[in-house]
Amino acid sequence: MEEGESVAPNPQELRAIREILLSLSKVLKASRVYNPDNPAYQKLFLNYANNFLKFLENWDVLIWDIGQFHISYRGEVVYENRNPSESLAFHLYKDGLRQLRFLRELELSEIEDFLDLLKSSLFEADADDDLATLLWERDFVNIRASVVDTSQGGGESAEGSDLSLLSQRLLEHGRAELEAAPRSISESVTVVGPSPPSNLPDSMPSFRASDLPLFSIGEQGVEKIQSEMAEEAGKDVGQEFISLLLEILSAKEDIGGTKEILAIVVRIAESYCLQGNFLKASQIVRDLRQLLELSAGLPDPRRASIRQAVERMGSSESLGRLGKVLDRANEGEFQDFRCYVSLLGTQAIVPLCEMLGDLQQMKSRRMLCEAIAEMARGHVDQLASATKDPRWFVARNMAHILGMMRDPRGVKYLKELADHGELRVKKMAIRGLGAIGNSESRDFLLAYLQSSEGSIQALAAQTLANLKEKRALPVLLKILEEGQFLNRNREEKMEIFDAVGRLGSDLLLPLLKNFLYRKAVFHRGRFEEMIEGAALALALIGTEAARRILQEGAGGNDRAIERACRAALSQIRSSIRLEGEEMP
Amino acid sequence: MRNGKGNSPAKLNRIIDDRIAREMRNFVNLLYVSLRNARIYGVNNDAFLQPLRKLVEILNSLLPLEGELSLRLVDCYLFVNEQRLRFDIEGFLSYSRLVEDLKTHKIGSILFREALKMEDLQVFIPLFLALDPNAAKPSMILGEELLRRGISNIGVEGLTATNLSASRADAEGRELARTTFLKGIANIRGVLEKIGTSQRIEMKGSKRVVQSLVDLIMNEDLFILGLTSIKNFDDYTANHSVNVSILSIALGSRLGYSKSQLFKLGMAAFLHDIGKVRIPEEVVKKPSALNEEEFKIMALHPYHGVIPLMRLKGLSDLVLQSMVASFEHHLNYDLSGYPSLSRSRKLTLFSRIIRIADSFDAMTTARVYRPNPRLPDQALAIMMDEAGTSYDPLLLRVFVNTIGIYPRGTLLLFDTGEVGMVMEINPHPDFLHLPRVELLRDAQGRSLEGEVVDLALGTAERRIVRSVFPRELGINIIEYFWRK
Repeated sequence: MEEGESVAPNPQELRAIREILLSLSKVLKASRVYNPDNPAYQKLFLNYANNFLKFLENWDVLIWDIGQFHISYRGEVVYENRNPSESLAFHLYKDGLRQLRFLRELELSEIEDFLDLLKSSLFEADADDDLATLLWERDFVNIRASVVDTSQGGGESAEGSDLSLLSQRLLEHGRAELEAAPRSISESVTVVGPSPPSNLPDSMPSFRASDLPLFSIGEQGVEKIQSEMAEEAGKDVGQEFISLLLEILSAKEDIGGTKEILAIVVRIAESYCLQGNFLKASQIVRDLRQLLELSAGLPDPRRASIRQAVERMGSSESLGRLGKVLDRANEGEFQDFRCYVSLLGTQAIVPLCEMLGDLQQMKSRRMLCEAIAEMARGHVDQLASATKDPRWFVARNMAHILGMMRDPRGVKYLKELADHGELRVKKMAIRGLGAIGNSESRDFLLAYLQSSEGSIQALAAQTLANLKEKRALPVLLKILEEGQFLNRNREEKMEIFDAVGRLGSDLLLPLLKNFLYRKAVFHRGRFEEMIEGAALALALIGTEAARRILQEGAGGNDRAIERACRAALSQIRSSIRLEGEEMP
Repeated sequence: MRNGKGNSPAKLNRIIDDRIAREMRNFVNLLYVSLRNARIYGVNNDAFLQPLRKLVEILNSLLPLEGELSLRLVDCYLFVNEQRLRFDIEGFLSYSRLVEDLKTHKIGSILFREALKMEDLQVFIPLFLALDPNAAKPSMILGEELLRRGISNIGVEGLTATNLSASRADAEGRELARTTFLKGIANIRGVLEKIGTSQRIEMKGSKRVVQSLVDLIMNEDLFILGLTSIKNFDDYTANHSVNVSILSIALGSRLGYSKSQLFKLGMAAFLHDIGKVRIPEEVVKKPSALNEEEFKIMALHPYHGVIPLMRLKGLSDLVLQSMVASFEHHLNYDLSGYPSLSRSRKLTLFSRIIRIADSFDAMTTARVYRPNPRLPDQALAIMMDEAGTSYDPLLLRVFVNTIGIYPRGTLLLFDTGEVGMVMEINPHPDFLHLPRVELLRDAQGRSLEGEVVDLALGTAERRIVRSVFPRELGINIIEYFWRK
């Protein structure tokens, strides 16, 4: 008699088992509808688990004997369902399970895993493994399965599924081998009595006792093997596999399967990228490129396929999935990413530009812009389509990139961006033109001095002043003298005066003095801004004569002039201190 | 019918999880070390007391779980509470020395009960070592002495015929081994047919076969190892694949791989030659040596084995390992062999194991181009010569220790004119060349009915002349294994 099988089950036991099976059915059904973290599902799971644990607490072991459509416990049917598509019993039975034993020490994790295996085998279409295989692999400590091999789902040939036939053939094979074989010793050996026969072949065993040390492993040998096993257990099998695939790709012979191999290589590289492991992804690309460079003997179609694979990795489809990854990446990881995309080549530029629209973090957008600027060096025209991106923030980033690149060939794109509908884009484009600073961009900037948008005009002025573009001065002076200038906001006024001051010379002193001492009855505030601006310009001109005007003003009676001039002189002193001179 | 652990349902009660099995192995190891150190250092020395302390700790941790702990000798194997202990290369020495100790002192089993104290073992061990094996009933003397000294929680039993009887796989185990062997051949043949017609292969059936092989070998039902002496049944590649899988798992088991690792190893070995399907039959079955062009074609089969595996759903660890093994299995330890490599690589352990198993089985199988295969010991001798170049030298030694110099199923001719078949290798490293054999023919050539002799005992009685091919003696080895 087996443990736990000595007496017929009592009604309580049977009721408890039926509860377990009912709760199991419910939680299985629920798993198709709810996620595991859904409270309704969790309640059902806990009910199922508790039923199990409670039973084992009381009765030590739970045994399910599995029939085609029923489950019984010690001869009593505890579950029956004749519908093959619904029946738990049928599902277990068809996979070869005939008995399941749950032991007293069953743990919650095992109950959960058992449920997961059931779900996997029930609900996953085309599951490669049946439940018996899954149970074996999981190797539960407290669940034991008795299985019959159903000879299904495997690779058996039709004949092979009939083992008795195979067995018969095996025996025939043995007889046939014997009949075909020559006999030598049996005819030569005739032994009479216990003494060794005289006609035995004169041959010795391959090994003698003295050879035994050859087979000794020793402590060092044991340690070496164990250390290798431990090292291998920690290895990245994926890396081994990649190395294998690359080895196959490097074969000179035509072995077929190239496209499939490369598809897998690409998939693995993409998978590394999605994990944020750009280092490993880079190594794959490097290896593929090396294959192209070093393996001159490779068949042409294979070389073409390898190139295509690299292109695929640099495609929008591949790179487009990395937005969230980059948003999470730290600086080191971003560096690795830059390394990765640089290996992909210029065909990755456009997809990278498209990514700009996907990134949420400013930091990651900035880093991506730097990456694109670096990659597009010498290939400005690759950025053309991205400059026309309808998303203004992308267009702005493109202007930023073009500015970083400082490539004169970018001017035409910046010109277009400077005419963008969105002010932020225009401004970035103007800065970009300033960064390039060649004659063409200066000409455009001069044109923007005529812009009707005050902030654009001011920015253009600043930019031209940065470039020390003297041609801007007459236009700027004209702007100053326009009646409308008075009504401009303070910031713009200062920017224009600032530009004037940086570009100007003593020739402007009379004009600036005039602005300094201009009297106003109305709009006093605005006039004071003009005074401030004029003082600023004088400070920036910074000559002896300009300083004298400021000193006069600082000592005067007009408070606004005095204030402005003192501030301007202070600015001069600060900048002189910065340059290391003493001010009298 | 098999259960998830490869035992019959009747044995399901006896559950030992890995943790407890490990503790039991530690217990055996510490018992051996205590005995050894008592001999060398004496019973008052710390070198003896230290392992003894640990032994007491382990015993006292196991006893509450198990109730009592019996260490029993059956043949050359140790059972702890009816669970046969599996030892890997690390523990094997202490295991086999303890077996020797028990046999020398004619003790068949030792029973430990209740909470043990250090003092109990400090009394027991010197008494055990002082036993006179020539006394009438040494176990009784020891038992009485223990009681006289007030130690009732250690008991001993003497060595009986049961302890020494050759352990054989029970009938159910043998039947399972045969069934699994045949299923393996049928399955791999089916896999090869599908690859040959460019269909996608499925792994379910193959997995079940390999799982059974792992169960058998992990449970030390080593009858299956004897079946690897069956060669060339049906399709060479199919029979060979099964044999290589069995031999690889056996070697892996001796190394101490876990169940899941053995499964991966077994699968990789099972599938290692599927690439041969892509090689034209006239090349595979050519009855003479291949010319350069033909060799180049044959040398592609490692590549061809990778492709169908790549097409499997999901690139699991198991599939990746199998692909690597298919690619590497003809690469030698020194990276000569084929396919030629574009850069250096470190062969995986699995590949090195399969290389050994593959070579051994191939060498011992008659082929169209080589009708006279090697005898097993000859094959091992050749392989030992190539240790360090073709084969990993350490793994090769472990392999020989696993299958023996004369593996199961090898026929031996003795100087008495008798013929025997190797039933089991001698687990003691000093007697690797002296297996346990079943006598099949007497000196007059008459069939015998299964007398088993241990060649390590009474070596003067009969000496091995050499191993022989079954066909030389008209012995049908398949019939032998199938009717047993």
